[in-house]
Amino acid sequence: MIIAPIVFLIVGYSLMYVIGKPVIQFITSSVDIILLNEAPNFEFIEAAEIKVADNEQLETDENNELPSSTVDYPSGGTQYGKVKIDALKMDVPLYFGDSAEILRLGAGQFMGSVFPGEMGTTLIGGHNTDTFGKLIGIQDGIEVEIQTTYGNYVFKVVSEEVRNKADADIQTLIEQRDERILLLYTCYPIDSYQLGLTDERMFVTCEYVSGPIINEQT
Amino acid sequence: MLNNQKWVAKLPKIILAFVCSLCLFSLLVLGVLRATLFNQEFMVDQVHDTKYAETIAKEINTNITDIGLASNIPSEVLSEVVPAEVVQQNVDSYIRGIYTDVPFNLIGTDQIEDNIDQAVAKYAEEQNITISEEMTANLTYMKESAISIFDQYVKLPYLLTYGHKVMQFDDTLILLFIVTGVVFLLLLIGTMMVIGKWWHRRLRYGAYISGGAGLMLVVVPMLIYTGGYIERIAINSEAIYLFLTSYLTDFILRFVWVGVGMIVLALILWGVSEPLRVKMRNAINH
Repeated sequence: MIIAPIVFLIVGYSLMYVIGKPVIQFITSSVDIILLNEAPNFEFIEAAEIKVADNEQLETDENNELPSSTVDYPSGGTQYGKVKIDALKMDVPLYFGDSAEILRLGAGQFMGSVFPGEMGTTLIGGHNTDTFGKLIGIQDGIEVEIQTTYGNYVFKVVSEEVRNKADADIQTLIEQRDERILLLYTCYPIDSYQLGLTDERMFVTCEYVSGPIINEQT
Repeated sequence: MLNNQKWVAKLPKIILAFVCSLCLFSLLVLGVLRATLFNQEFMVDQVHDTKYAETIAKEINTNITDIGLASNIPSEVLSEVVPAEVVQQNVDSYIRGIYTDVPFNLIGTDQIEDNIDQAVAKYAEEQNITISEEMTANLTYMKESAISIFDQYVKLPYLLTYGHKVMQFDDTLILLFIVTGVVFLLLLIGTMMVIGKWWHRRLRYGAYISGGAGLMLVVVPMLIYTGGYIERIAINSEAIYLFLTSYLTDFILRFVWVGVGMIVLALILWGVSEPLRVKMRNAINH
């Protein structure tokens, strides 16, 4: 009894495979594109205590340069540092990426911008309600510390301005690769007595003061 | 030699039974497709079973609280402005719209706007904030953004495209089902006639046909199910992930259950045929 149905199964599947081979291959290759290596995880990620680097112990050369090959770059969505402004009593966890999920946890670095220490603009955002709300008290000359797992950086505030989120000058500033700039931003109005959403953002531009320079050629 | 001759004599019957089995398999595949992918109730059932509306309501509310955070409003203030019931009504209506081609319009947006207004007014009162004209405009912008999020979550664009594409083939599927059904019946009658007058043989070949179709229905879907492919689907919304994995798993398992049903039928037919065969052999020997 069992042999005949099994023969039917083998011959039937073989026939279907031969006839439908192009379609089957198209379907399997298409499905592969939308499959992950493992099932996705939707658990909430808490802000973790991370170990920031000690600049004294970094293996930098005489020009204070750090080979990029020795930098432990973070992967998307992971915390890799802190944004600290002592003058404002601000200490916010810093993540790589600026999705809505990340901004609920702390500050997020726009993935299209450079890492602190690299040549160009590092763009970091946070919500005005909690994490970056203290930027209301920011002034020129205040020092901003970006502590990371690979090095600690100090920047100095040079300007604070309110611009539209799609402002062309800001876009140019984000894309520049001539100097090391830190650009902090948050939604505006920043004053907690002003409720409501606008397309305006407060941008704080800071210039590089100290910290290991990442040599992107090595 | 005698054995070989016996097999040669059996071969046409076996081939006919195989074609019949393949035809039954096709008929059952079409039937399962009609009952699942082409059936709006199947999708609605999955939505209810996975509590899709509740989960997606949570995601909508979380996204609205993000807008709140950008508007100087703490997350807890706007965390429950979209009720799950409103999401459920909209999702049900949207799915029915996909399959019936009736244009879908959002339901309950006024209620969501009222909920936001009330939550913000209460918070402003607690904080002694006077809502100015400028703030009213900014809050209106915030409400519009919230409704836009609600709209995006309810109207999943690929669900609409999928539904429309599936429904384009509905008439073809019904036609194919009828044609395959008629062909199967004709083949079955032909096979039974070729087999001869003995009932035990007819039942045994019926078991081959049913068992073959059943195995074909079970093996590949079971491999897909146990291979864990469905769980690895790349979707970053928990609600949509739960809904889609449940939808696909149930779809795959329908083939397995129908296949198992056919195998059970094959075993019954075989179980009935054997005593008849023994009875007949004993009658001939005596």
